[in-house]
Amino acid sequence: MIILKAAALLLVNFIIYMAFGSFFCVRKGQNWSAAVTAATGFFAYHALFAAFCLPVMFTYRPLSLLARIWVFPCALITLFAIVLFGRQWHEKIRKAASVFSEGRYFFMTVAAVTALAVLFAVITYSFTLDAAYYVANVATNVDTDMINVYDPFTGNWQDHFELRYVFATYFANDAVICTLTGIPALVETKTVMTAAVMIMANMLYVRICTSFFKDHKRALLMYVLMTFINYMFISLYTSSNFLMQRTYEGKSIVANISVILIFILFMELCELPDAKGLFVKLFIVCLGTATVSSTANMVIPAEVFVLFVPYAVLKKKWGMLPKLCLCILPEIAMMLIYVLYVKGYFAIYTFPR
Amino acid sequence: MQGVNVFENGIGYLFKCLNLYTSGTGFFVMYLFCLAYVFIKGSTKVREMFIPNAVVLMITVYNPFVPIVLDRIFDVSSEYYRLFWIAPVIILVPYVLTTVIMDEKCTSRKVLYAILTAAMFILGGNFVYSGGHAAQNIYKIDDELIEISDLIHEDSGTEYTRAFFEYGYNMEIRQYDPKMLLAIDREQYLYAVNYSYTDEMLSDDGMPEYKILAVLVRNQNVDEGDFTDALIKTATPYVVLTKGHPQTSYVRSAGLREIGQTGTHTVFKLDGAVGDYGLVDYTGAEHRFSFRRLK
Repeated sequence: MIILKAAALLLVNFIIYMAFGSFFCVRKGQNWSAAVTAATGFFAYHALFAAFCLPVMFTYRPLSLLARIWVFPCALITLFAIVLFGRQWHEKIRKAASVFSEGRYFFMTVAAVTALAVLFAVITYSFTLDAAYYVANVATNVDTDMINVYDPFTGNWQDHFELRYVFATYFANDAVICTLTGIPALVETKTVMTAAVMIMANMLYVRICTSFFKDHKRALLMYVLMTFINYMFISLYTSSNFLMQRTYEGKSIVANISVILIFILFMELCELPDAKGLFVKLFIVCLGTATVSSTANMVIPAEVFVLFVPYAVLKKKWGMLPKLCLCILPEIAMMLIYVLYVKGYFAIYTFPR
Repeated sequence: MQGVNVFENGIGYLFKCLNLYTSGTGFFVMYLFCLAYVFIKGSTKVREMFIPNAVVLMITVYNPFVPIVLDRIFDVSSEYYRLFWIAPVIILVPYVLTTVIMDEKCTSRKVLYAILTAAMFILGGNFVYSGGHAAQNIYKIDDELIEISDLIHEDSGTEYTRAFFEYGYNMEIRQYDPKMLLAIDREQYLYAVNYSYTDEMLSDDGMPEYKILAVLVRNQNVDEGDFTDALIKTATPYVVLTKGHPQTSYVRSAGLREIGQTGTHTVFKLDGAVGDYGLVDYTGAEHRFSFRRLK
């Protein structure tokens, strides 16, 4: 029963991500990528979730209240997206079916390799110290019906919020899903979100391969090699290790979804320098990533700088620079807040004083 | 990165970091070769995608002076490696190898390149699941831990209780059972794994956790009375030890009684310690943001 629930939840997740992403990626009469739409939608979803979660958390209201509130914008946006973009989705599925018949072996191999990666990630046991915080945080929030006021490591009440983690509301979202569905925290994190992240990463890989190579044989070889690297480029610290063993963690999402998606947006810029909406997508990805993990505060501004600034300078597109600054503003703001907290300038209490 | 910090290593920090990051794998070197390939043979568009950002990466992220400068603003020692994720190794290496293999017209050479690529990946990599095993259940924790959790809750008769677990279980139990509070948090445990407790630390009455860790993790000599006092002070009635733990007889002699066993663990209880715990009551709390300047 739990497995069926988890599978249904996975499907619902992707419908919601597609819905959220469609507002930024789907344009009438223009080609759009389902992978980029789903991944952008993932970040849009988490950015909006943070906007609802933080006020509830900082005013000591229960998790169950947040769960009840969150259902409405989520359902409303999904319904709007179905009405507004349903035709484009249908068109995409129809196109995909015709492409599938042309490149049956390509898509079947991709599906099989992805399914295998999901299966391995879901069924293997892995011990990580960080899960003692992240997963226990979800379990503790669900159990206490509060958000981040109890220490996940011990269960003790905390005097003030731990600001290193508190703005990364990704795990509060997991707790909301657990509250709404009754699914255990360990299943939500280590099965549902693990599968979601793995599928999304593989969708992005396919997007990259097919944009480099129109020939399916070449694209397939590149995709297989990308997957092969993920199985082999392993140390405690590599992004591949995070993807394969610690898939559900925010850090893994930063390393394997955000970093890759930003590279794809950069590729789009190189291919179509005048493409519209690119910086809006980049902003959403940066904003959403800031709500997924505090790791984003260091990695994302650095990546945006490393990829886009040399391009802007070489192409003399100076107008791009303010847009880039705006994109990384959420991370810079979070970093400043965290530095001030660490230096002892302020604390946010978990009980009114 | 664990055990490597900028302050101690200076400009050597980056190289130690890279060594730990790559951990004997050859993919970063492959990335550098692929950059050279793209620089020489790549199309303008592909060069535009990979070369300028690689140059900036080398000047910034892979510049040994940058972590030193960053470390003055905030401690980057444990997290600097995350900037290595930016290098598009997983995109560039497969792209170049695919091009090399598929552009080859001679079939036997094509096969040879493919074999060489596979060999390079296998010999130059560490397989992710080499030491892995399948999870025992959908929760991905030991069946035995679930058994221990049930055993303790059945015995305690309270909604919440508190226990001491050894390292692995201490990190996992609350992921499954948030009603099981812990005597020791993660950082305290990690300290105990690496360092012994001084007499001064053991005489600190404000930190009874030190005595528990000194006995059960460091196997140090602590008076039995002080140990049980520490359990009482931390409201920890339950101690879970692996069978054959060197302090099993000490724990028994200190007055803890065995309440049950699982396959490889024994659960002890100190009757004098009360582990009941209630949640903070927020029903009457004002729902307003409470923030204070500390400095």
